[in-house]
Amino acid sequence: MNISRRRFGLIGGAAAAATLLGMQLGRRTARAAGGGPIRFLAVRTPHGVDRDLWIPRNMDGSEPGTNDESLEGLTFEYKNSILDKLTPWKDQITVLDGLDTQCTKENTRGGLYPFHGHNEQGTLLTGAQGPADREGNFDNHPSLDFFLHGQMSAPVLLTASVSGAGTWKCMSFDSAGIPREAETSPSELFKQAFPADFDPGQPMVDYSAGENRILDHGQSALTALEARLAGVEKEKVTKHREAMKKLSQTGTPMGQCTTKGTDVPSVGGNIGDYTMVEPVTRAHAAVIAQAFACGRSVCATLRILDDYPNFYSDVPEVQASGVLSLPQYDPATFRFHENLVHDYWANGADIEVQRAGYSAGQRWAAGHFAAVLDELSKVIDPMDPTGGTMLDNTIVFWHNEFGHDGHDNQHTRHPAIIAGGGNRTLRLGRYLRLRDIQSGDRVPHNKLLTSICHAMGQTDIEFFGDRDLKDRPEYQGPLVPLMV
Amino acid sequence: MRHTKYLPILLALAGCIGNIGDPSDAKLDGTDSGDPRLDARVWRLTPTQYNNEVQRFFPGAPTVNLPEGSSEYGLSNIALAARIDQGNASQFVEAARTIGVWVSAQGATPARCTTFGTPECLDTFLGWFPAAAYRRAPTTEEVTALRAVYDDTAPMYGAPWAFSAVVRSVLLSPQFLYRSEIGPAGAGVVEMDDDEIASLLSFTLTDLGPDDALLADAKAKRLHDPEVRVGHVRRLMSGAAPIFQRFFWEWLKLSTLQSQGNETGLDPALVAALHDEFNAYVANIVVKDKGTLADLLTTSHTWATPEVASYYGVSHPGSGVAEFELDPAQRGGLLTLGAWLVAHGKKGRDNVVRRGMGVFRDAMCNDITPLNVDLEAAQAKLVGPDATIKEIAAARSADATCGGCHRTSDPVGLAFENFAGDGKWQTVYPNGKPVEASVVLDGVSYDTAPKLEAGLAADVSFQQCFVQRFGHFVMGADFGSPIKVRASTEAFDAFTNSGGSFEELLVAIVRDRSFIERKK
Repeated sequence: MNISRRRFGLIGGAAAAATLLGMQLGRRTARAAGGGPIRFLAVRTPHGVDRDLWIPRNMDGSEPGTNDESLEGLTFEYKNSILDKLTPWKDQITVLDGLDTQCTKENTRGGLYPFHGHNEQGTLLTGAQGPADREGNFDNHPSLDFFLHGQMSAPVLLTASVSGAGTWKCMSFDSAGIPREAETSPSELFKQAFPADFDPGQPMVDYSAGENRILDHGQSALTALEARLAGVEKEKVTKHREAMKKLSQTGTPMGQCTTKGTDVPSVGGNIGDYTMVEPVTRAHAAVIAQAFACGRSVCATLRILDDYPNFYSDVPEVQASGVLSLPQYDPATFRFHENLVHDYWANGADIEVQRAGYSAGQRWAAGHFAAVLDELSKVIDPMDPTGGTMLDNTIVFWHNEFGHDGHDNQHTRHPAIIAGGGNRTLRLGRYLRLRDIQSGDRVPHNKLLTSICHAMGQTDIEFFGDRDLKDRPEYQGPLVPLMV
Repeated sequence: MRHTKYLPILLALAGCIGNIGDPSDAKLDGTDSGDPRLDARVWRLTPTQYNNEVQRFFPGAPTVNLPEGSSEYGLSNIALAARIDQGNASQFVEAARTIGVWVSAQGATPARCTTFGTPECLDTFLGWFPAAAYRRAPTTEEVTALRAVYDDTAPMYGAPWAFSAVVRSVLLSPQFLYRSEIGPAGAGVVEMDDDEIASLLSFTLTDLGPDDALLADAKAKRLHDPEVRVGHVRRLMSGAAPIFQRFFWEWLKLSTLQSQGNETGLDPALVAALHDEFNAYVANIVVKDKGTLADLLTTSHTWATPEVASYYGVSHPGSGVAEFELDPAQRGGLLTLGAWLVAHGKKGRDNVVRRGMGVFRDAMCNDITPLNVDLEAAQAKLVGPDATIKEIAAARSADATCGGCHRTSDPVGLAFENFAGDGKWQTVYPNGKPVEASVVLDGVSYDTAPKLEAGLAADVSFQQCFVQRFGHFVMGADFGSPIKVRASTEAFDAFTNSGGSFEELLVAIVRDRSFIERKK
């Protein structure tokens, strides 16, 4: 036992600590659901996803046997799996399988683009049918982040992007449906969030030593239990002990708003090559987490790359797959999107190599999403009396720009993951198959947008999306299996 | 159905080679495939058990969210799969924090002391809480370790925080989180100790830790006596309704009720009422009336609200949940209740495959590997666009590939075609074509779903599947088929000899030595 009291000098010892605890307990008791206020972050990556490599699987490689399963007994670790970097986050994510941006096919009025293709990007957060010119405005349909920002009190709506800029593939749209320009530089994003004279005041008490003491308590009992078991049962307890020890070593990070307006990060938005994608992604996520923690923002979007520049082709795993060396491609001019995303579905003789290259690129993208979760989890939410992290108090919606369903650029089987939020209104740790994947059934993603509205406290919203579809029953209500 | 006639032969063959009913042949190390023993193990509390236990210690404490383990055949609470690891450890930490903070905020009452925050209060608390949480008397070292948590943290954060730290330490300890089934040191097959048997019995029947009667028998070391265990089973059966409700819900795969109710356009309040009706039906027939499996599949009255009665098109005696009669020509048994029909229903479609597979695959233990083909395209090759539901099913059954399973499952599903996707009675489809729900199975005609259910209740294959899955559910691990494994065979015999009594099945499982023996 080694607890340094010097770490707690800020509040002047036990009496003050007890007073603070009393404040915490009072707030805790008053807030029946626990946790802090919920924020919203939407993250998008490009190039579509092969659904079969994106879902979790049983240990024997088969698909989950039921439509609603705990991720605990499933695995992301199989050949060409895309989500293996999310294994440590299993309890913080839910994988949605069988979601469709069905509204893009409705074509209920003139001036729309009802075909498959790069038209789902704006639809994802607006829930509206896309414009014929494929990058114009969304005709008085705001995106979900903009809508929620308007319903909640916070100074800034953050719209960040790693590399991608311009209205093509925009995520955020204002009340008129006009694309909102994304900020590519984390340092500039920070300046949007924090005025130069912003000062958060004094931090609160650090309970990390006490938290570690609690975690340490179980270690000896777990060790003793291990000694009494053998085989898989012993391994089960070993993993338990190691997991608790890891939490103990990590400790409870200081998370109160400690950011000052002068703490501008040095990371700019310049992506020289693929190696800078993760650092810039992390820098954006860190700014967003701090802005959430300090009450400067409650909603944000983060777009991590567009189809171009061609960074995906430079990733070593993609190159190691051998896909660039296939005879039909020229390594010097190979483009991940045209040469692989499109050709992948030709299902020719080289499909295995193409699959390996394609999944390697998407695995790289999943690593960026894991980095976002990591940054959110590093920041304790000062508005959460239970000491939860910003990830516990942020609904994160990760989606790809489109789905794949027998061909590229489709509106069906749209890959989506919900992360964070503390399991309060949206269920975490689940694999949810929303429909018969092989059938022509569709589950409009508008229902997911409505679910997020409910999770954000907008429980009177029964439909979010295109005005022509609001009376259609199949578009109404939340995704029931996702709701706690 | 189809396997009924073969069962006696299979049993006879198995008996001849000594795999069944002959304990003298069993290997002493527990590895005999015909008479196996589970490994010494730990079994994590389910979220329900965790919250039930917390309520037992601290009435009114908040309910916490915890992860379920993965399921086997739809059955949750599988011992090997319920783990705490890097993927979910933080949830347990957060759950303990939530409860610890709540307990501390309440002061003296949950601590069962008079002056909260004093050493005397801690003494009182440590005098009862670890014993309750560990489901046995704690060792001196265990109590000392908990006191050290308090002593280390109180000077830094104050007594309330330190008190919550003690609560959290207990709730994060393996002694609370796991039920152990390890027994004494040694190798080979050993008997669990009495405290372990008490917990196994208690959680099996009540999802709660052992009560005073069980603890007393554990302390007196009487639980190795099978008749003492049986006595506790009979005593605790009256409170076992939630266990049976969960079993039938999971075995018959009703987790899709809410989503399919939503899809088929049912009022969510009605869907919730159908869920309640399912639970009331199981509780009344299985526990209150001590009914049989046949009763569960043929009873044509139910317990539900006026809204449910209206949904069934029958009269209700008054208000609230009450018992009322169903139309026996339409409904009788668990599989004609709205809950099962809706969970296996779909809007605007025939439900032959969904309901047929629900019986053939889930309720009769037929493992099926889905074909990797475009099913709609395959079906389009078999029949024209104007084919009736029955013609489509007949074509599927006649096809060399599809027929392997659909030949048996489709007739079962067809028998339920008088129920639309939302579970309501129908005699014509929305396209105006008449429903054709009469079927022939193994040469026997069934013209209504209740009659088919009655046939199912008498079918040996179905009964075997039920026993195997129920044993799996109780033991949290594969129980084995009644035609292969001794304990399962004896449980099956006890079950059938009693006319299908659920209590006698449970008694047989608990009485058997495999219930308390573990392999090291």
